[in-house]
Amino acid sequence: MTIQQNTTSKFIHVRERVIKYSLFSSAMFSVIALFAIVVFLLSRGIPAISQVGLWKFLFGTDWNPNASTPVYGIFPMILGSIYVTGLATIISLIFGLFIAIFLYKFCPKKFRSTIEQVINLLAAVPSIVYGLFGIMIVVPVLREIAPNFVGHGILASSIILSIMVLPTIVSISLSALRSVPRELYEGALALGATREQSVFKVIFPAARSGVYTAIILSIGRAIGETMAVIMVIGGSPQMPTSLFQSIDTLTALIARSAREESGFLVEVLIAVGVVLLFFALILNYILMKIKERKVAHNYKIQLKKNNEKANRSTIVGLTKFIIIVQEYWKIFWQTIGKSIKFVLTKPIYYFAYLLKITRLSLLWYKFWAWIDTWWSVHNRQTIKYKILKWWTYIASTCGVLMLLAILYFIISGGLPYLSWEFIFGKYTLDNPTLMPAIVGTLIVVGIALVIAIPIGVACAIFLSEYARQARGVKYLRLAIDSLAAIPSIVYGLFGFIVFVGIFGWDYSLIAGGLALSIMTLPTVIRITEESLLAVHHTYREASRALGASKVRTTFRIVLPSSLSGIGNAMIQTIGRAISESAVLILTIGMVVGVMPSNILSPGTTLSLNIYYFGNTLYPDQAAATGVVLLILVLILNLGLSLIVKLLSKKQGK
Amino acid sequence: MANNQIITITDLHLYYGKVEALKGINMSIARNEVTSFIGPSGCGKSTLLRCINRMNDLIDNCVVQGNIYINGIHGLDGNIYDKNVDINALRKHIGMVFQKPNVFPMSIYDNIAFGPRTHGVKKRSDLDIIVEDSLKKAGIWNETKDNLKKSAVSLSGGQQQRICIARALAVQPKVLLMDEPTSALDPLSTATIEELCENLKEQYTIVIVTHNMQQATRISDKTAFFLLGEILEFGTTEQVFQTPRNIQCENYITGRFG
Ligand SMILES: Nc1ncnc2c1ncn2[C@@H]1O[C@H](COP(=O)(O)OP(=O)(O)OP(=O)(O)O)[C@@H](O)[C@H]1O
Ligand SMILES: [Mg+2]
Repeated sequence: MTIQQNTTSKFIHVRERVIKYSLFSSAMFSVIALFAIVVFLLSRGIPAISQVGLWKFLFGTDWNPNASTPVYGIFPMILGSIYVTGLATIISLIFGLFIAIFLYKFCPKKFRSTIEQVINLLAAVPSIVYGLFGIMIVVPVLREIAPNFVGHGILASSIILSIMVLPTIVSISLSALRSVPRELYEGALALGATREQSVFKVIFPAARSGVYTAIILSIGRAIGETMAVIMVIGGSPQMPTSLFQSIDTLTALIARSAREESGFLVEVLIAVGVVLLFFALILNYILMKIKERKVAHNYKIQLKKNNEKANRSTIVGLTKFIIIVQEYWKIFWQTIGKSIKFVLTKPIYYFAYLLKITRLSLLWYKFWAWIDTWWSVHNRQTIKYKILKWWTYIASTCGVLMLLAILYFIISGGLPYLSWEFIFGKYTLDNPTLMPAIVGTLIVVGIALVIAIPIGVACAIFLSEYARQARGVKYLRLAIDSLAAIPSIVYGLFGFIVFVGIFGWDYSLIAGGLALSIMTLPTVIRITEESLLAVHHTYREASRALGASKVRTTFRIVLPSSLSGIGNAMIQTIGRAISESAVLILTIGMVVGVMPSNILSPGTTLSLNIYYFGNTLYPDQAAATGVVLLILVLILNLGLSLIVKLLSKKQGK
Repeated sequence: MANNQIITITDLHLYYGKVEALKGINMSIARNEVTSFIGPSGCGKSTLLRCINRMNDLIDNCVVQGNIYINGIHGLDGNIYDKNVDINALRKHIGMVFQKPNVFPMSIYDNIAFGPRTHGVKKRSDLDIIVEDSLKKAGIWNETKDNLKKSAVSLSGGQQQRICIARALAVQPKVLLMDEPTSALDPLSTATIEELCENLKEQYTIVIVTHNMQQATRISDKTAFFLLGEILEFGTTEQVFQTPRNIQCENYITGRFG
């Protein structure tokens, strides 16, 4: 009896250790992946940069790799990325913040969940479909408006991107608003403030740090977005001087050129990837700093500031923020900017342009301050907030209409061309079909799932069950967050360098699947960990108190309770994998017409097909593929809510 | 060491980070008796209770010094804080019931069978016997026997707590630690559980934390009064409540505390 007990307990002991270390090594996978990405990009990019010269590379205004003496200045693209991202974020904020406020307070209860779902659906629409919407609708419309009859460019890209980042802004601001203590709102009401005043003056400012997070995240998303932009930006490496002008961004430049070119240009493009990586990691760092600010501390300060600013409106507060940015800009201008002036003559014009914009914002501020005093003099404060309130209605309506418009145009454009033959037929030149893409998508998504789900779930288990406070965990989280922040085109470059190049697999489905699995890993980890952490600790205690080992507790009690979270992670991974195109364009080769025979063959996916069809002679087929993709995404989303419902029912919650 | 002392605690200090939550505890707990811990909130009752089956190991910054000896449990005799003690076996023999009922989100049957399954009982017929037996002991068999497949989460709070007791009994412990098991329950369920303690005493040693003085006098044989991480008074319940030696203990019992 005793002996038997000893051997079983020894066996359990060994099993515990084995499982712990395999979980740990899964967790280390993300660190290694991040390390590999940085190392491979730098090792190829840095030599290229030093050959071109850092200054000429970053601030050169000419990009002409095909000249007899090629020049590689990416400043136009940097500016392009910044302008597009900035404008998109501003547009998205003007709508998104108010949609969030609308959903938080003013929305009638019966519409709330519908509107929230519509916004979530916007998040699920593949970026390539946005690009398609861009070339089908936005660019032609803008062409009519534009003074120079050019529809492509900054404005078109910004509009598309702003729709794309809208869900991020809404959902994060909304959860920030909802986490503001109710007492604050009730306190304001008790002081005699109106509903609108309480929301705009008290709640909204208190949710500010959440809003900052939303801004940074959407900047990250916008700057890294490739495939939607590539379709509407135009693609000429010119200095941006107008909203209507074919320009280029960093991401689009990489995606367009890396596939087609070879030799030194590829090295330079990898260097561009380094610049993007750099941007992404900086944004991630800022995000971390925002998160790190202690909640309690934050809260206290906000209360104080709220008292001080009792008479100022939110808009003025936001404008203040812009003014602070302007101050920083001035300092930057006086120090670094001036020295740039000597090297670059042309771009000064654009800096001046930027200054003009900021000055405009100053005017804007003065205008609002004036209105503010006018109204307080007339003691009609409430009217202003009524207007703001109405804007929340308008913004929300626009958001919903936008989704409907996208759905309508894609579906009405594509449905007539949708047929059994188009989807499942044999591919010929006159009669392109989706069959190779369907097979390719299945294989790529399968590979991504098979790799990302086990490793991601194991990593999440390690984080939530084994390493809550261990010392090195900070760095593990840092690595995972950084992976999440890296733009997908950089993953594409990584796959291009390592799987396509070094491993010698050439363009192949396996290369795409692997790159994709690394990219989706952070999503899997985050969602799974959230669901594990949501399992109440009393379950763990109860199980341990019965003498169950840690492993048994984890796998029998905690994991089953969080199955819906893991299901969620799986579906989101599938969704991302189906929608993704920037990673794949550099790794699987976009071979549209040939059936892949195994995982080493090159291929295509549905989303890549949209890009391909949209860029060649098959615009109708592009829309039809868009319809197929949208339907798939819708089904996935339905499946998701179904799974969650089923599982929670089973647990008797 | 008298033979009827199942647990002997000597000079136990416990720190949460830098905070000393238990400051040198010495006490013995007698076999087949009910021992109750009383004292104001935050004085370390739960902390000491959780030391006895080493549940404090789950808390990250918790450090324990001192010894807790077990006497008369097969395979466990000795100091539970020794290096090579099998903690899972320890917890199998020293069961615990928590303040809030914490049934697992699974069926009543699976809840009760979880412990035995953990310790290697696989045969369905054996499990059936254990489940029925434990539910009977916990006084909830009649209410549940017809729907053992029902999710335990759907039961009432009082029923859930008795399921938790049954679940703890199902692994056949020698000692049952209960941390304010009735504080979340209505008077009727409380009475049922108090009655239960009376009956369980025959086979088990029970240590119970309670804020309810009447409860302590009703069910316990020995009582320990805690204050600020120390035991100021420990003796038979009768003695502690009728002729307390410690003035703070007297104040607390008579409600003049603070
Ligand atoms: N996980 C923990 N981390 C840090 N300190 C803790 C922790 N748990 C308890 N403490 C502290 O230890 C002291 C004793 O806590 P304990 O929970 O044992 O009190 P208690 O007597 O059970 O109180 P109550 O009657 O309220 O349950 C308290 O001061 C408490 O703040
Ligand atoms: Mg307690």
